[in-house]
Amino acid sequence: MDFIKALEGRTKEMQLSLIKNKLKSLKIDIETEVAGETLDNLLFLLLKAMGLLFLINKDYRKNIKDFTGTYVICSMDKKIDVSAIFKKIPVFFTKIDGMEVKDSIVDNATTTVTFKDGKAMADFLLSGNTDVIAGMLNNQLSVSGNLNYLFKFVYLLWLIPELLGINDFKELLSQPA
Amino acid sequence: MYEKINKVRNKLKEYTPENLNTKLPLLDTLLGLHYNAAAEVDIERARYMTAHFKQTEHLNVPMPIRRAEAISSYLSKREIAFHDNNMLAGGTTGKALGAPLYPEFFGLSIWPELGDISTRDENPQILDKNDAEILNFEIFPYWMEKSIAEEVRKEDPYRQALLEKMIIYTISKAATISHTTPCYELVLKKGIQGIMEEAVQKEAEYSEDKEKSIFYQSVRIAMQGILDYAANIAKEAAKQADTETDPKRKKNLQQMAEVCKQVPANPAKTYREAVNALWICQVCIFAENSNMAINPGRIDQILYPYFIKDYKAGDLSIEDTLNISGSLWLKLADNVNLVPEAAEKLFGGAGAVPAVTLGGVDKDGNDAVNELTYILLKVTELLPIQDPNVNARFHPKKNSVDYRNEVSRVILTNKAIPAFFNDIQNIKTLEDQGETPEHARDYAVIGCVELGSAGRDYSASSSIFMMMYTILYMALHNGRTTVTGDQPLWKATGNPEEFNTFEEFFEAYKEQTELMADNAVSLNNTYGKKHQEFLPTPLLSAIFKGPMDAGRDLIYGGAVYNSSGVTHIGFADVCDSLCAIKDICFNENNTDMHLSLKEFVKAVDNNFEGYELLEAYLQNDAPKYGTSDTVAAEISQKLIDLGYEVFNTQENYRGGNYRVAYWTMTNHAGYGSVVGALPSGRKANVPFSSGITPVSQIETELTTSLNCVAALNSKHTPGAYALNMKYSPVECSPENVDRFGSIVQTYMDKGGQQVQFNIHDYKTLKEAKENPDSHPHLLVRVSGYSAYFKSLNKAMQDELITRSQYNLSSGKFVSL
Repeated sequence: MDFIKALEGRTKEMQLSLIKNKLKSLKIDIETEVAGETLDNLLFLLLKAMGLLFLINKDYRKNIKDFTGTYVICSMDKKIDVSAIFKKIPVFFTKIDGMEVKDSIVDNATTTVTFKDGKAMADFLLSGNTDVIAGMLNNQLSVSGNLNYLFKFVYLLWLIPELLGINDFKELLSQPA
Repeated sequence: MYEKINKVRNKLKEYTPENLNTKLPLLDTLLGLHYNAAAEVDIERARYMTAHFKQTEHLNVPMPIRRAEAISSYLSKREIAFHDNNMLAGGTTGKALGAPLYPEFFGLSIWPELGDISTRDENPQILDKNDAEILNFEIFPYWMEKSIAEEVRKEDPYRQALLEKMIIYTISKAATISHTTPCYELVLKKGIQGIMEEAVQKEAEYSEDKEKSIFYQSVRIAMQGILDYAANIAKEAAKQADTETDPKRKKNLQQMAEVCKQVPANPAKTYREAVNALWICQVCIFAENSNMAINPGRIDQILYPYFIKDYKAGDLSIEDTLNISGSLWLKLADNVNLVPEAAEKLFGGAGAVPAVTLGGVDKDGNDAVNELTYILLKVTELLPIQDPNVNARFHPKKNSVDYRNEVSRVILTNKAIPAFFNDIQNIKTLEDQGETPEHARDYAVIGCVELGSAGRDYSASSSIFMMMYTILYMALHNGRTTVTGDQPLWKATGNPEEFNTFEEFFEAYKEQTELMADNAVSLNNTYGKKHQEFLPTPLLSAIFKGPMDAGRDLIYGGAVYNSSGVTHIGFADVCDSLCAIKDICFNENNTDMHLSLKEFVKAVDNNFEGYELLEAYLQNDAPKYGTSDTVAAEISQKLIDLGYEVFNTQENYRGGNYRVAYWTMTNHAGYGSVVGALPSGRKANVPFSSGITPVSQIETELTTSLNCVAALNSKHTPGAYALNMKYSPVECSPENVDRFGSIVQTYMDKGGQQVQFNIHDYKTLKEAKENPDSHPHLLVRVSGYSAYFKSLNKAMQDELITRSQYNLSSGKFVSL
């Protein structure tokens, strides 16, 4: 949200330009993270990118028209504590459908996903597999709250790499670091 | 009677799988098309249902009527397609092989896969890009808060969360209203118009009784949907016939148009009308209830009057009957379930499992086998396809040896189907459940193996899946599970060191079983109540005995019988584990291997690493179910009795009871592949044994294994069980056929309820695993139903490969 706040008072064109620049740097961060030893920050980075993509990509934003919901994603080893709150975001001198990302846990989540540990989260992402149920069965993650929200969220998450231009994301992820 | 049957049987001998292309070219073509069809996701129903529910969101319309209107709206508007020259009109979906999506159940689970379900590794299902958009933007968002699981979560989040742990219990009501046998006789005799008129009359008669009035009104609306659907088929068939240039196809379209003008609106007059009426109603039931184990039932009985009338009059030849019946077989196979990839990985390969039941005795207890029974057995032989799940009832005292041997011959020929069911035991066990003798004798097999009086028992037979592995784990770990943290889930029943005798330990096991049963029943009943609230079934209710008299939907207990089913996963492995615990920890006479239970649990939790001697002992010397060991026999019966005791007196939300069963579909392989080791010596991530079947590669004598299962008290398995046996392929000689049949009959004489076979050797199955394209349509029995080996996951394939193989002639075990 700090980044959004920093956009205040700037022209629409400038706001757009700053968001695009931020996305470019996030893309590099994501690629670096994927190539690195751990993937502790990957989810957070993807969510940051998701939040910004909603602001500038109309087609992507269409997925969350009037959508509200709060997601908490954490790990039992406390290495991951992220929240994603879908709400109207003040940008471009109006309020549009978007998502705020926090690096902490918020209350009253619609859906909470708890990974066994950072590795489980990494494995889940590394597998390139969108299947939530597989993760649950393998005891890598547990979910509390509305499962349908999670299904939607995973769908949105996996659209990000293509939107960022990381077309071989799944392939990239499946390569050993 | 036998003379007439023999005349038909002699004629049937002309038809073999080898000459299908010349003798029955229509079926040969349809079979080829079926084998080559790719499954496609069909969203048409979801689209119409969602649109209707959105439109009526803020109207004060009672749910039974709202739902009936939605179903009727879909049926009256749905696309009419004729993909091939099948003689029957109507299809489960608009696709040649469709996977219908039910958003009110578990349809949203494919949301993450909308982009790649068409290309996924495991059993891909083609999804049109536009349809994916419609799902993403229009259909799924509407159901996010309204799917049945979310409605249940609002009421019982605790037990719903346990369900989502996957390995504690499963409640299939999250995904389906199904597993029952409608009364198609009603439609054939009265016609849908007749049922509708009855509903109109009763609606007027009970105008003061709001609930009944609403029920009859909802039936009337739903029936109109069926009439509209059939009328639209007739119209479209006639239209297409007008422009069709191929004379054969033109004639078929014209005949379909004529048939659908008559049925199911009116009572059926001919065999073709009767079969098509049955099929159209089956399709319409799928508009309301998910495509899982809705069973045609005893069709050799239901359709016989129509067959014999036409046959005697010379209006129907054996060839015609084979073509029409074969067309039904291929129509019943026109749909598969829509499942997310993980479910495919763990449980994949399932069809929709519509069960057909043949033979046995009639309502008066007399031999019911007729000419049509043999014709349908011939169809089963000629069309080795996954669905329908064909089951042959056999009454050793009433049915002939000829019939027994004909069923045996078909099994040896197509190597998997049908399964055998013992009428003597099954009728007794249903009578013991309170069914009248007439009703019990008229049982049909439901889905995999379950039993229910046809058209009278709304049996919901797959309601609960009990994970026996988890119960044992809890008993061994003071009530903890692997997925719910460090504290006992329901109750601390003792650490291993606290048990001084096996009986004390078994008491803990019993207590955990009771607790799991109570929680599973409670959640299942909550699901049932939510079904009552949101998913009434007026269409199915009208094609059933009971609801129209009672003025009450099936879902409210309107049927004559109202049972629910509970099946168990991991029976043999848990039984062997209990045997091992008794033998190693509580048997002072065992000088070969003695461990404290605490140490034994430690070994199991370490997957036997560092405990190689123990592992060897367990594999070679510990008592095992399926052998002649008396301890194992005692414990297996004790487990069966416990399951019965715990469930049979529990009441479901419709006022019926819970019937215990032991069938596992592919769940034993799926769940086995994700859980830890067991005291039986089974290592972590290895499939459990299927159904009631003893663990593979243990017993060297076929008869010992069969006797052991037959000895179990079948009154305590009223939902039945799946016993899987595997024989080396043999020549289909009269001697081999008779020997095969004799072994089955001896097993039945000793009390066995059910048995099914794979006639495949280790080598063939291994080859099929390594090179799936070498055996693209290899049909196997899983645990209850049939599946194409190629479509099964690796764990299930391995389980099938390693199943004990016996030599039919010697009865001896064949080494792996």
